[in-house]
Amino acid sequence: MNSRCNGLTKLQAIVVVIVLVIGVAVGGIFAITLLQPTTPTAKVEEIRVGLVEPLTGTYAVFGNEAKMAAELIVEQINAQGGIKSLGGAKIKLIVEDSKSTADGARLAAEKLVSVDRVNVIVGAFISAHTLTMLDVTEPNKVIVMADALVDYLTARGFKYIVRLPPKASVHGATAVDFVVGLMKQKGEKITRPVLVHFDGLFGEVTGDGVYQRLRDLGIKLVDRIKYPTDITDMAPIIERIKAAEPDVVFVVPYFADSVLFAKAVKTLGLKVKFIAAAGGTGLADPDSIKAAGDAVELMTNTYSYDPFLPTEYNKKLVEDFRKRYGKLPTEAAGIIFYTLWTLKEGLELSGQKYPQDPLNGDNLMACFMELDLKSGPAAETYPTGRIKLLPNGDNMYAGAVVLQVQGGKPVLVYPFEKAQASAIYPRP
Amino acid sequence: MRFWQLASFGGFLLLLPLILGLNDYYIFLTTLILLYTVIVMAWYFIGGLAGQLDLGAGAYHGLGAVVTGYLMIYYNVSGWIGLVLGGLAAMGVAFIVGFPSFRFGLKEVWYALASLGLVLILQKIFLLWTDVAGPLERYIPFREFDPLYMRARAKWFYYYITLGLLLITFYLAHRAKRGKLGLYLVSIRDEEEAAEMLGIDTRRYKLVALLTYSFITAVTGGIYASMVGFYHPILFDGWIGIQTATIAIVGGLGHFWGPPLTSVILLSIAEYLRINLGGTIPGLHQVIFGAILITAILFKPAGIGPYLESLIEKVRKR
Amino acid sequence: MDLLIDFAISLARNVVLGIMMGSVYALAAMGLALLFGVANLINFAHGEYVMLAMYMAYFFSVTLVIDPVVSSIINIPLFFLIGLVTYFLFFKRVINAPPLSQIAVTVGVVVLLRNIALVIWQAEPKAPPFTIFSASYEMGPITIPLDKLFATIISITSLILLYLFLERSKFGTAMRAAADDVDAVSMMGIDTGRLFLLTLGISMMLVGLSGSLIMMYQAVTPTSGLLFGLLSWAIVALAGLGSIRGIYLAAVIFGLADALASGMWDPRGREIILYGLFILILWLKPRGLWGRR
Repeated sequence: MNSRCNGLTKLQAIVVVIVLVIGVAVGGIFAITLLQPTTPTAKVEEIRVGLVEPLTGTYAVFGNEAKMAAELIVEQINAQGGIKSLGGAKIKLIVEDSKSTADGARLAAEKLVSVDRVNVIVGAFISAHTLTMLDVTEPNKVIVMADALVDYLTARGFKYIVRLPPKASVHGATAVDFVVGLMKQKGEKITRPVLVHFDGLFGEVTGDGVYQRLRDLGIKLVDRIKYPTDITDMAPIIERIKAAEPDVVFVVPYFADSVLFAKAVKTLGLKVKFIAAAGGTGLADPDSIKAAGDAVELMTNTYSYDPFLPTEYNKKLVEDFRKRYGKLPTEAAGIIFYTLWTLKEGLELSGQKYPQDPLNGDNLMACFMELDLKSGPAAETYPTGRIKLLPNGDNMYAGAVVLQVQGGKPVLVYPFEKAQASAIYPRP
Repeated sequence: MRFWQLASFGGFLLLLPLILGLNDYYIFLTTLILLYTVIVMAWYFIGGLAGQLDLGAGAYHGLGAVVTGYLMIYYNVSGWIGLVLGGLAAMGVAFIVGFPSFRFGLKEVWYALASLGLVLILQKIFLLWTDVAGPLERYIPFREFDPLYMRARAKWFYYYITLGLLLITFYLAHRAKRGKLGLYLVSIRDEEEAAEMLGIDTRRYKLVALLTYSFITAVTGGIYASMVGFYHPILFDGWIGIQTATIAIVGGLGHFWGPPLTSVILLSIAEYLRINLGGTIPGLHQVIFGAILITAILFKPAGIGPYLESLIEKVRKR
Repeated sequence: MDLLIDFAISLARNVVLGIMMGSVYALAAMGLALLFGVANLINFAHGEYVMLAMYMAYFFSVTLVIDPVVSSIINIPLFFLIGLVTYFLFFKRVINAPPLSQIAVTVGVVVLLRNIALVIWQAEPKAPPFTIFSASYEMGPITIPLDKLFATIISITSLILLYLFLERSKFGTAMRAAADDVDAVSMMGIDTGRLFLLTLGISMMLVGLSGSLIMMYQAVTPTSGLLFGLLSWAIVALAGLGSIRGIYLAAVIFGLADALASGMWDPRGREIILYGLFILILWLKPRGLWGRR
């Protein structure tokens, strides 16, 4: 502290030294990373599967349901003797919290890849978060099995991605088809639809799906209203919907905003013929019904999973899930069900075809591409009953269903031929 | 003696990625800690020297991220140029807001609140400005290793950039502290009216401090965006400013090495707690972090830096 | 012509909403103004206390199955207690300290409270599932939501009560005197420590009540504190530290700005208007519109 001038010149000297050492260190590290050999391990003892979900934060409702489902399914797979073609290797699930942020998901993926050295990552429910993970997983050939819906996850040329649930635009189109069909039964037509959605990636893309299907049917939107995901008061939005005087309202919400939306609709007495949501998050699942009470009565949403699918395995699974967690599994859990079972099938096949290196990203991906599941737990929990991947990683036979809240319970109302009960229309 | 201490410390920082076994995750965390430490060090100009409790770090951090990311994605401009332009943009905003603020004599709580408000205003402006930022995440193209474009898969690349920035910031702060600027700023901080009467252009020097701080903070934002590979208006985060100010206060307001030291220690503790506790009770680590902060503020109001200094004095006297 | 009528209706709707929202904001801002004016204490964590009050209102309405409005019966005394506890834990040490130390400590409180909320409620937005007042009253083309109307009525009533307390009671007079000159009050033989304690208590009671009222129609997240904190400070900045009426008017102005920005422009743009207005006020009218000092 006492020798001021001296300190400064020394500082300069240090800077020079540091620059030199940086050069050496960078060169050394670069050499090491290049020379690092990759040796495949012959014997597989366990398959490490990472699960990245929003366990806290805005989307925690979905993340926690997904985690419950994943723990249940992994338990079932391991109880059945693990992956038989890999000598009964067990699946080890490593759960990470994305904190409902894109950086959180990224950090989680970073940890799973470089510390836990996982073989596959399942996640991250929110499409925008999933995209940040792909930056980490792609170069390391770690396969991401996405439970996120946005279309272009699979349209950006990523090689190591599998996404089984129907795309966001399919959800949007399903919502429109359902309402159009429903109104046709009564001899009516949509005349003044309004679209309301939150302004995130998923809201935009699903909203586009609704918009495009309406446009194809020659129906014009009266208004398209966007709101921020962290909205705290829906009254201004409802006022704007009212001002548009719609007959049908299409809405793409997440969880908390859907609760606010439903309550504001009730409080402000919004009178429309029908309110249909798209995207599987909010309004018609048990959590929303619990949080919004009777405000969500008669509202519908589209889902990537049908909890009422009358297959033997699905019935048993829903029962197990109910017993253990006390609620009906819907969107988040359902996607995990068939995704993890498909993973199991893929691993079995890889063990048979590539016994010397079954967990290699390329080998495993090739096996996923070969799968054509028409029976077994994966197919029995999938809405259309069949899973076969397209080259981009999407399911060729993707399809969504519609649930409506009737008497405080979700009921399957679409596709019409499978419906448990006919949809109640119009709103009183 | 001091030379060897510094040299060994510098060597340690340089070789840290190797010590961490080149594990991307740990290097990533270390880089994040260093990035925030840079902001704490940059805050020294406006908070430590000029005595303005600025909470607007998130505004400049976000601006740097958006400008750098935007240029990289849409114009294929190297991140290095983006960093500079982002810094200049932040200086521009800081000037637009800082000039009238100092002109109208905004200080203390009002200055703090205005700077916090600025973060939220910018966040929403960029959220609505759909051509540039919001509301969707924008992804910076992936490159395996492209130092000219400033994008690489390996995290040590960003570690060294951040380390370099930290050293530059240290150097600048050191010079400012020893030089005329520091002298003037400290006299403004301690006795503004007296400084004015001595003929010091208080507004001008406060503005210089603010602009320096905003530039460096914006550069951290640019590095961050390139490292995580995307940007979004959410990076205009009010929390960064609050965290920076609290850490600087705990470290010792106006102290030179107290705040950055505190930043490295506290943020490392926070990350350690997060890794070990985050899984069992999400958020618990942050409560412990908050408790540590407030205990330090209440019981060592002068800060950790001055406290350590007095300890060292005692040891020396013996 | 039609367009003009539509515009007028939409304007009228949002003005009504704005006045009602402003009335509730007034309650939260009043708590801050009292503490700042009387005790000269800069409570940077004010918004975080509002956030906590909102969470408590949610908590009580879910666990005890009562309406968020009714939860104020528990919230008001609870926050009086919380006020006392915080006073002895944090504020007592800095009540006579320079502003920067006060800000430092209360910013520490911000960090602590926000993270406690994060641990307990996991950062999910929370809203109570029901309120008795989930209906609305149609007045021509204008819809008046009963929940907000009721909140407005309670809010104005409490402000009137507070006014009477400050004007008529001994402590109230002392509080007003302290706002002008603390030293004079302590020379008059009034224990300023107790006076400050009471002020903090009342300030917190207002916070508790406003939290309950806001929860009737809003959701809460751990970041809500930032929003309400800034909003309260903005209202105090606009009003100046003068009168309850000043605070109320300023709050209504901000309520109108809020409703008009989200209703007529874009709900995502409201913060730009609110905080832009705030910064402008700080530049142009640093003492507020109705400030006495």
